[in-house]
Amino acid sequence: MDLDKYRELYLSESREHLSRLRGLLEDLLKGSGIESVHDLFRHAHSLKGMAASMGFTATGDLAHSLENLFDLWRKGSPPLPPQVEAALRASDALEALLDAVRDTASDELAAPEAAAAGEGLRVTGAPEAPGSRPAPPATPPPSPEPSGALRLAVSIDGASVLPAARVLVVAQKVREVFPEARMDPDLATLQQTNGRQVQFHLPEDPRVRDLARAVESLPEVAAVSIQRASGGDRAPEATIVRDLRVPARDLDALLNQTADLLHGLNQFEAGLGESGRRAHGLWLDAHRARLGRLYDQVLTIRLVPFEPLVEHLQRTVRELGSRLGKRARLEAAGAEEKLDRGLLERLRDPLLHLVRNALDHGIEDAAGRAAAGKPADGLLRIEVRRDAEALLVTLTDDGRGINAEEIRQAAVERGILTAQESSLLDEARLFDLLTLPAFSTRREVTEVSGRGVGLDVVRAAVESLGGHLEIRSAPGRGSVFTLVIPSAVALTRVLVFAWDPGGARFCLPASQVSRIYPLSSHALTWSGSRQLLVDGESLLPVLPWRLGPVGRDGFGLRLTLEGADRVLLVGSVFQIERVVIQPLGPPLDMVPEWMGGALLATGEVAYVLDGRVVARRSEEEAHAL
Amino acid sequence: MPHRVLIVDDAMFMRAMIRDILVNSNRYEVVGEASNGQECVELYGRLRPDLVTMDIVMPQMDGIEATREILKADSRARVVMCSALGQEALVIESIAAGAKDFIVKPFSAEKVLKVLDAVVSA
Repeated sequence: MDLDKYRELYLSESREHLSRLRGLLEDLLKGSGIESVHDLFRHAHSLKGMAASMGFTATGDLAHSLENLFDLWRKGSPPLPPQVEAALRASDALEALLDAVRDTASDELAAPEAAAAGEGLRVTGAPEAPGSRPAPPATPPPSPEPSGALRLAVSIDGASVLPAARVLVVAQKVREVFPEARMDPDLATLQQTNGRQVQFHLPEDPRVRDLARAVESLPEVAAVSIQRASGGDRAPEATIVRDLRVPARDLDALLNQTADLLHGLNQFEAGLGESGRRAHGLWLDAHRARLGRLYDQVLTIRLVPFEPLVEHLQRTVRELGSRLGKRARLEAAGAEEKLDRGLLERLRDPLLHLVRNALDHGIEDAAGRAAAGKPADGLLRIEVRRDAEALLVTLTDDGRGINAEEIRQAAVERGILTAQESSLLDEARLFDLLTLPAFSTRREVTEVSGRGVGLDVVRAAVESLGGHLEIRSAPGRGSVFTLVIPSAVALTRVLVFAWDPGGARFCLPASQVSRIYPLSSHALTWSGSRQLLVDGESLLPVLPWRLGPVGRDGFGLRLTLEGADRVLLVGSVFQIERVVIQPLGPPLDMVPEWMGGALLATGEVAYVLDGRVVARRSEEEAHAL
Repeated sequence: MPHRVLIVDDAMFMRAMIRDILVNSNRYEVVGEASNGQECVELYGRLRPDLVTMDIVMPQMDGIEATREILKADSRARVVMCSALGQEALVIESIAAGAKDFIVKPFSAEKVLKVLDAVVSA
């Protein structure tokens, strides 16, 4: 078998795992949370598996030794500093092994270094012989005794944010029919590994089929299948390829083809005529539903939600806050936005760094906050937003802010600029100086954020994605860091609506709509020349802008914009969909009210309205009258 | 015949959000709101709703305890937990205590209705 074509993939994946592994080891040296040992184990395990499948024995053996050490740690043995040091040296050796593969297609050149590092690990207490470890929890352990002839395999939707809890709900349903059903892996393992696959051991029984159907219709269940229990001789390493790395381009093509299928179906139905549609209506609806599910599934594969990263950041804030003796919490907005998997991975480290900075340098301690009249808990806020061209990830803190003057002075002191040059820089440029390597206005080195403020690393990461970093700050009040990433593949949630029930669909970004009022239960009234919508005690101004008449069976969409809320009247409201917004071509791109076009699941293209522009325009026109 | 729902959450705007979702669906009717577990147990006894949406973290009596109390009084009660991100262990505890399902904030109407529909039709 020709393994050469996998070499690039092997190298890039291995390097990613190695880099994360190193980062976690460095955290351990500084005393970070014990839960990182589970991640360490997983990274070492992946490195081992990949090296083994490529036939790189020196690499596989060293990774295995690391895996054994991390296994000790995650079983409760405290990571001792000499062990962590030895692990770091082993990770250096792993890097040398990867370089050897890159240069010579084999890892043998670096084998002596690897052997020495392996020896170093054993000396500090890592267990002896490789091959003595049982299978890791990431793959379900082979059942020791057969307990049931059938396996009900359930996969939880990738978008579910609490998959273990979801599995428990499924388990309750299964146990309604089969109270003794065994679940594999168990709930504790699922929680630890954030697993989404589970199997129930069931007896041969006619009720299994109906149960499977019932489970399939549960929320957040992606797939259900019934399998026969095998003899149980599945080798632990059989699932080497557990995750696939697929070029984004290929998934885009898949998505487009699926959309074409949907579109084709709609066209076919349109051409059938009344009697044809009646005769085949059921089949058409069923088929459309199936295609819709296929479309959703491809979308789901392609994109991941931001939420898990937010969770991770919140954990970091808690741990770090308690270590620094500062109280703070992280709020999130827009975490349901979905973005490309690779993009998310690359935002992780920059965001972690910004959060650490905010806690370390931004948020004041209890005395400082009390003196400044701020609430005891520091507030960090991460917001994910998408506009027509870019993904905007903003981290705001209400800490002490950045002092432009201090930066100016420090820059002059360090010889980066002359006093005269520095006086020419405005605030924004001064903030940018912070992103120069090893620039710090703190005298002492803190162990938390490392040397300097580290913004150079953040900036480099963002720029490598084709974006840029914006810094705003108000001394005493806080700072705002915005990562602007131009992205062609972030999905936006939009609300689909229409003015003419049978006619063209339009969309608004769901983030702009805060409420939907059915006009059948909310009255409209006039105050002078302004139309208003009645919401309990308040009156909301209605935008005079619309593309069709709206009657009592219409809806008011409450647009929450900077400034005040406005209501847009529309005829029908359909659903919220996740779509890719594409820029319109000329001359439509000159109309600011239209943000772009979106391909809906039905295959049609809907114009995406920018509520902010519509509201602003209407205000301007109203004032002009 | 719309299903009768009791909404429990200590934040007013959360209750308003859920209420709006339910009201717009035309198949759920909000018959009461409670801002803590204690109130919830009292209202449940009086109103006997078909379904309860229950926030987990609340003052005075939290959602898990309230769920247990309700189930003691009515073993067929249907409680759906409303959780924020990062509370998986609490959600699991709730389900073990007898809650039928859960939804995670921030909500979307489609997700909420999907879960509630599944619970009432079970």
